[in-house]
Amino acid sequence: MWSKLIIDMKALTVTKEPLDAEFQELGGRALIAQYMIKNVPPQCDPLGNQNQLLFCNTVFAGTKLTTTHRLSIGSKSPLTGGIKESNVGGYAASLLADQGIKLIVVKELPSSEGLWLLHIDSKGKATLKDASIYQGINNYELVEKIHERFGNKLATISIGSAGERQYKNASIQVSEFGSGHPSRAAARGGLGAVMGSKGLKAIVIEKPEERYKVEYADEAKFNEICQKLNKVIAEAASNDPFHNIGTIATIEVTGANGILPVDNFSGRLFPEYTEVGANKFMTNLATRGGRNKLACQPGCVVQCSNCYNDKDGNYLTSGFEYETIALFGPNCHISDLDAIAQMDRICDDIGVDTIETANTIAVCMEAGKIKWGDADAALSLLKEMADGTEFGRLLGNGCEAVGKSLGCKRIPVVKHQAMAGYDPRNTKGTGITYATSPMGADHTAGLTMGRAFDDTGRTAQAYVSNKLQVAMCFADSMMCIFAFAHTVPVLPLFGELMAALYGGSPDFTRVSVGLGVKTLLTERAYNKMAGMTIEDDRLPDFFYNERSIATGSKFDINNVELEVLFDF
Amino acid sequence: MVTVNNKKIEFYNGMTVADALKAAGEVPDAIVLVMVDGKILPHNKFDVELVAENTQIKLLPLITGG
Repeated sequence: MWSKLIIDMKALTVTKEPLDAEFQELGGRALIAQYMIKNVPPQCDPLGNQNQLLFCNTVFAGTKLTTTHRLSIGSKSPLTGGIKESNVGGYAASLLADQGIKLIVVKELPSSEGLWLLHIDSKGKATLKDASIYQGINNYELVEKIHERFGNKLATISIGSAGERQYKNASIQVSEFGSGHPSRAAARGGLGAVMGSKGLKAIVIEKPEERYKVEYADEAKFNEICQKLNKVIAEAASNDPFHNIGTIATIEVTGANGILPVDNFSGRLFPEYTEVGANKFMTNLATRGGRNKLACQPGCVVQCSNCYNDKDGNYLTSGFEYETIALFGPNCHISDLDAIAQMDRICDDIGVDTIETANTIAVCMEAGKIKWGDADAALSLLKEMADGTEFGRLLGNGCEAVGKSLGCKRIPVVKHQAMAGYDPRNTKGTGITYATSPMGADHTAGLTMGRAFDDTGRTAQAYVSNKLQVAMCFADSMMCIFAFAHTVPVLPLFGELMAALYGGSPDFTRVSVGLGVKTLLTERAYNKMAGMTIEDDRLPDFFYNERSIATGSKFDINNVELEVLFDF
Repeated sequence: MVTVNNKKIEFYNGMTVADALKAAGEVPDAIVLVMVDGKILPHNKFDVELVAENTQIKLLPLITGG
């Protein structure tokens, strides 16, 4: 049976117990939603003692299903004020599954100043250790020190100085499989601040001497279906741009059709987008000893990750992704891919969300604080965040806080969270997702680009957003969405997988309703109890009032369409 | 010959990427990336980019955003 670890930061105790029966068949985003609504008061202070921080595995953890070892991290968000689930690749979820741990619950606040580290050793013993020696140390150096102390057969989950300072844009970083770099981010919603408030600097998970064996209702049947699914995904992945290039390939589409945000979502095109596009990226990898087609977790067949080196061939960053490049690049009028890679490295190191941070920089440019396209000035603002200057601390509180402080009228946030790299006027279903997702403006909650008849038209946008938001809920409970995207022709197999693992009926509604609809409605109920209203399900005014210069389109989805979206 | 995904197309002088795609029966929509000999070619260049003998063209449909 799966275990649950309860970490009480007030008593400084660790308790290991069997996972509650009600959560046995849940995982990932679905588990976070059900745990939160039953155990975390929706009106609690996100940085107070009643909030809890959850780390959990997916429904199919411990099995051979490709990409199933995503780590879901959940809490009440200090940024949005609502429920937050942010999931991340890397090695941690795989080792947690090997340890037989489905869920870690971090409760309470320390009664005195300090930092601690949760160490799960190779024999499965979990202890809190004093980590005050790591105070102020950022993620890359921290991980090096952890490797020196505990060896290399481990994964790390950690915060940098941003999390310690409780910045609302603070991420939680997870080490990559293979390299060990802390470059995978559970970035959104300020979960790093919650970890910082609890005085938890890092979780170190060692590879266990004895691997936990999953209990199957019918192991042979499970492996048969799993093999089919893995084959479908592997075959489709061979023609996937994310596998062949990386997520940066998305720029080749969004840059051409006006979906790529430019100059703080001005709606303009950025003719130089190829300077931060796939060909430039691939050339730089090839000439500098970088790599793509890397797996961030064991057993991944999509392998969309990469290792990006500087001009001298030295490691600069990894997991260098579209969102970071789009938002620090064209959205800040910057076309220097190496400068953007430096920004990515700094964000991973101090532990902040690149989406929130890049939008914050764009707002600073719009307000005249620094010039458009000035990469050095953008880097100096990141340094202020790292140094914790007065303005740096304001930057750490995100796009909305900075925009309001500087008197900026165009602040691209929903539920106080900055938008991902897709202009909602030119992919309107994505705009509907931004507006209505319980997570705030988030591309992974239901990106509709290319899925409705016309991205700038109104037809079918709400329908597609609704279907994708449900699908992303169950995908985020099972596996990486990039692998999941290839399973659409064989979705019913997931119902069969559930039955082979947990017993019962192979009905797909166990997935679509049990993990999908139920999760979405639970999250929305949580947010309502936290104080959110339908007015929180809106885009900022300027998307309704200003036309995209690239396409002539406005966000013309009316409020009624948004309000009835989840009337299932 | 020119290869479009795994399909072999007869090459002729003056053949453009658009011609090769048409001959292979491919009509890539806006979210399909077209890679010509390992480089992504923007859709607005299909009509003007000439292919050479043995050119490899690969269609990479974008399944989701990153």
